[in-house]
Amino acid sequence: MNKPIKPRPCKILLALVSVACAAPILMTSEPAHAVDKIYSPQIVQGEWELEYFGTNTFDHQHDKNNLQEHEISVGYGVTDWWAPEFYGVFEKQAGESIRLSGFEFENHFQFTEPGEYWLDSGLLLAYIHTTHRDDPDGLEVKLLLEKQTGRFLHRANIGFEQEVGSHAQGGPDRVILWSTRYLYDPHFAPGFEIQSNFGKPGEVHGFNRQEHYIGPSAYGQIVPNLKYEAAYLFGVSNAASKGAVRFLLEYEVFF
Amino acid sequence: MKTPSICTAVAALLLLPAAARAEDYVITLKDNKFAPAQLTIPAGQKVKITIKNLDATPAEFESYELNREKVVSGRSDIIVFIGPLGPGSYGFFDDFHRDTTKGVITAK
Repeated sequence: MNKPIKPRPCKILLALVSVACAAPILMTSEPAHAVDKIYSPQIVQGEWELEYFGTNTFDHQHDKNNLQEHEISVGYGVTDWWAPEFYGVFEKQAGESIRLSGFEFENHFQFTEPGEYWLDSGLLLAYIHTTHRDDPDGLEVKLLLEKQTGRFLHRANIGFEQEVGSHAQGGPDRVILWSTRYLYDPHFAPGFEIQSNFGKPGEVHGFNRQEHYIGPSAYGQIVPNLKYEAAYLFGVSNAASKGAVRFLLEYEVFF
Repeated sequence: MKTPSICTAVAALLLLPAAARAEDYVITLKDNKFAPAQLTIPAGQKVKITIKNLDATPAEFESYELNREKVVSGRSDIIVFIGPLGPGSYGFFDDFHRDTTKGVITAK
């Protein structure tokens, strides 16, 4: 197969500069399971993705305020149904400074041709290796669903995150993430997100002991092949922070 | 048997065709031009479009409004499912030649 040739060093540089500029703004980010990226099941074969993802929480309680997570990743669409992605993950917990917390190897699978069935579907399998010997590794499994109705695009990610290794404790954290956007313009698609972590089965009882967020979001492209996602989510349960912001920059390129 | 019933329902939903049968259309790509560049399809129905790339170089069929993005290698075909769409116009383009290689799908 002939690979598309699209060398765009200036735009790559622009993307990296944008990431570098955005990072300090977001350097006030996330609890262990606060908010996450919401995946589409669609994969583009032959496409490289360079991505920055960051979150930051806000709360008057010290232990839930200014928790951060920053991820830098590289992914590639090996086939039209499989795309692996490799992440470096940086975190800031309460009262600590930002540190490299681990590396993540993610595998994204597309099950169905977009639009062929009533619902598009895929799967995310990720392994998180911590760099700190007292912390557990993690395994993440999510079913990825997508449905377009007119100009509305809906996504749902449903799954769990399980601690693994000698320091692992308890069962899996169950998560459901939802986003809806209106495809208004390539540069700006307004929408909303709902992100819920129901905790471990049998350990976390009641809405207020789970983490639930809801809030407005926006998606689009800044320039061709440089996409953004931004959301401010309000914590609506006691266990959640009062608010959390998430931001993503993704540069897509073919070599 | 609640769990098997839920699993069966989810599996059925995932595999449920968006319409009983998709209508078939063909768009060719030659000399970096789509033909037809304007395609009219019925509103409210799913359609199946075969993109035939007659050029030796690859292209990427992309549409923001249709939420589609798929690479088609040189001298090969891909299939794209679209709709059901409401009445209106939906642009598409070749992302490798986005300034020159464009088209419009009109749903009526």
